[in-house]
Amino acid sequence: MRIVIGEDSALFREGITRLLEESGHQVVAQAGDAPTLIDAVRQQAPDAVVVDVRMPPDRTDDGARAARQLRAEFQTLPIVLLSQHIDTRNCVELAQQGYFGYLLKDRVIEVDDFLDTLELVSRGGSALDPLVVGRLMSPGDRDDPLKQLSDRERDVLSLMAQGRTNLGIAGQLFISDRTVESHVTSILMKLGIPDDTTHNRRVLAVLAYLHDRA
Amino acid sequence: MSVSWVWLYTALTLLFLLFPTGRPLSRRWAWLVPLLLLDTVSIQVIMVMAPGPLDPPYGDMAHPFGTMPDALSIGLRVLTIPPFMAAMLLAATSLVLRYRRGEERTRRQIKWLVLTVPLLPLTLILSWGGLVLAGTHAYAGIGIAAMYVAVPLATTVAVLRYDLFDVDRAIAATAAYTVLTLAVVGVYLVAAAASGAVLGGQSPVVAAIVTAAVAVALGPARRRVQRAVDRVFYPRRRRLLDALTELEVRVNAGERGPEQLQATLRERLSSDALQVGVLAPGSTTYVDSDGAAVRGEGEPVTLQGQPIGVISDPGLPRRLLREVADRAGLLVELMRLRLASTRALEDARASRARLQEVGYEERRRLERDLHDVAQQRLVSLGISMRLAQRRLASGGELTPEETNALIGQWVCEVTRSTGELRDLAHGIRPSALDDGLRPALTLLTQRVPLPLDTRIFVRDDLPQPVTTTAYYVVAEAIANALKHSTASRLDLSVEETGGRLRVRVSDDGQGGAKIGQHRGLGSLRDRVAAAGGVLRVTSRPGLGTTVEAELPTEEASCAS
Repeated sequence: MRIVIGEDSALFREGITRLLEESGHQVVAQAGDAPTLIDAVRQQAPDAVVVDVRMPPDRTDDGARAARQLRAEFQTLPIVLLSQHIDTRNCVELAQQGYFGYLLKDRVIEVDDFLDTLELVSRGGSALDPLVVGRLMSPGDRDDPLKQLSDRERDVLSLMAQGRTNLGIAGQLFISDRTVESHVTSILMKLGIPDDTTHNRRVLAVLAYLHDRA
Repeated sequence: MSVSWVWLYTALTLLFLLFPTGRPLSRRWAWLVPLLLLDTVSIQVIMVMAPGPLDPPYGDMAHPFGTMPDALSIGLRVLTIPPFMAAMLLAATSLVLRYRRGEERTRRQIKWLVLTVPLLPLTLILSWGGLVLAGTHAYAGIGIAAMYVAVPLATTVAVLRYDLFDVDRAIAATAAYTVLTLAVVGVYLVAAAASGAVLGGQSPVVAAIVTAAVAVALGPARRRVQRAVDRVFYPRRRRLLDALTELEVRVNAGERGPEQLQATLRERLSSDALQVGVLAPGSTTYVDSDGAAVRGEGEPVTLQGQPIGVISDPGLPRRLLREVADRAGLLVELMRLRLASTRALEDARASRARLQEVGYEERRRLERDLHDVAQQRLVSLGISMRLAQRRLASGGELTPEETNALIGQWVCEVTRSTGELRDLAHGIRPSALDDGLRPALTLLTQRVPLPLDTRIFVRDDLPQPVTTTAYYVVAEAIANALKHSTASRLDLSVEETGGRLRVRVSDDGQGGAKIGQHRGLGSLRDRVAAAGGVLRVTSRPGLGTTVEAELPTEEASCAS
């Protein structure tokens, strides 16, 4: 993949570039601030973008704002947002539209997970950091439908919201592919989410559901 | 002969004797009460036993105790009635004495009773008027009935709620209306007589019309009469002084604030020209109770010779204003103290808010530093290790030299991270402070890249808050000097004298620094104030800058 990186810390930029290149990707541009990033994407038309949330000029959520702008311009541009800390506000809305991943920076150390996420996002999927999903799934008031789910179903839902495929979920939970499928059907029914045949659209529906709940 | 008239007077006499406390004025007056009652009973018995029929409606009844000879009856009346009259006079005297000797409260109570006095001329007017117009005394009954209602009512108000209304003003108004009523009646009598002379025979109708016309014409005269009456019954001077006394009492009782001085005086004068200005402690401008500036003209209010306020009103004679200013000292001083404490409270609140803001700001900076420095480095290190791991896992090989270089690089990153973390921690609070102010300052000054004179004379067991604050004063002042001025040398002195730690940092730079100018100095002032100290910055352009802090080193030094 041809990738553009938006990251102000030279140290981290270098690390992630090396990681991507050693994994067979090509880093076509590196930007140290939000405006440069947007220019670079327009120029390079990359296959994916990896962006730090906090960047100059404001050093607040410039990266997230840049991501929003890029999403408005390129509906199917895969974007992975990296953040120092959990902030559901910036990510869930973008995640509902697919082609989007949101990870804590520390997660990059788990190189395989990071690369998997990048792969998933580039295929139109959405992936959220487990901590973000955990926060989204904290049950609310008494008649919260999430409380009707069994523990196993909650595990499945959580992995689904993180962007895992049925196969991935099965591997993670040491259960069969078909068991996962029956759990998913049950979850969608209990939460009142209309079932859909494609996995991606199911995930997006789940994210939309969690987002509306939050 | 009347059977019961005497009781009416007895009741009134008793009221005069016992009002408002329910006891005679003093022991010397106590004998009057039983004597009066005895005399009343005697008179009643004598009247009943007098020869001739009883008063209606008892005319047909037989005398219950028989009758006595005429001569005896007259003799006994001469013996009993004059003492009764004397007792009435004495009771009135007692009430006057009570008023003269009484306190403010007693006086106000008696004034309520005085309020009913005009009912007497009213009753007479009704009596005469009735006689003239309708040929009967019956209308006097209205006045008597009014008295029956008014006297107990006034008594009740006086005893229970004497401070409910402004009785002085009520009396003044009543007096004014009584004068007006008498004037109208006078006009009527004259008009009646004149119309009689002109038209022949009495013509009440014409007289009534003339009187009504005059009464309407008197309307505009009411204000003038009121003012004249006020001059007699309730002069401006009295009104103002009463208002001061009353406000003092109410402030004392916690019902009013001294800030209402101006409003109270204005209300009594029915004019908004009067102004009260207070000289706030530590200030040279006069302000009103809302804190707005007031011109300092008028009569000064002083306390022990020092001006504390000013009272002005172009409509009042200077002498009167002077008297009011003299009497208002206590209230103005109270206002002043309250103003000062309110301001101090506001300052403290603002300072606390600023300190809090500084605290948040520091936390934000700290969070950012932690992320930007240590976290980035550690994550990068993690990535580097993972990459090496992946290369090995995928069957790649690392030569011993490559391995050595990689590990060396990792250790270097770890060492840098710990160094950065240590610097961050030092920024939060230098650990050298644990050993005392002197070692911490020595460590700090070693890093200063300019010639620096230090004189540090402090004991090592100063309280922690003092040493920490002093340390930050020095650190911030040095940082400012290095950053903003073109100083070529610095001077630091820290000394403890007389329970106060004096910290002084001066440079020979361009000067011109102000507390509000640099964020650092502002938060430093709040920090020093929070420790009970004072921060001063002297910085004239071209003459260098001196930052000086004085901190109390003992807990109980807040009395200064």
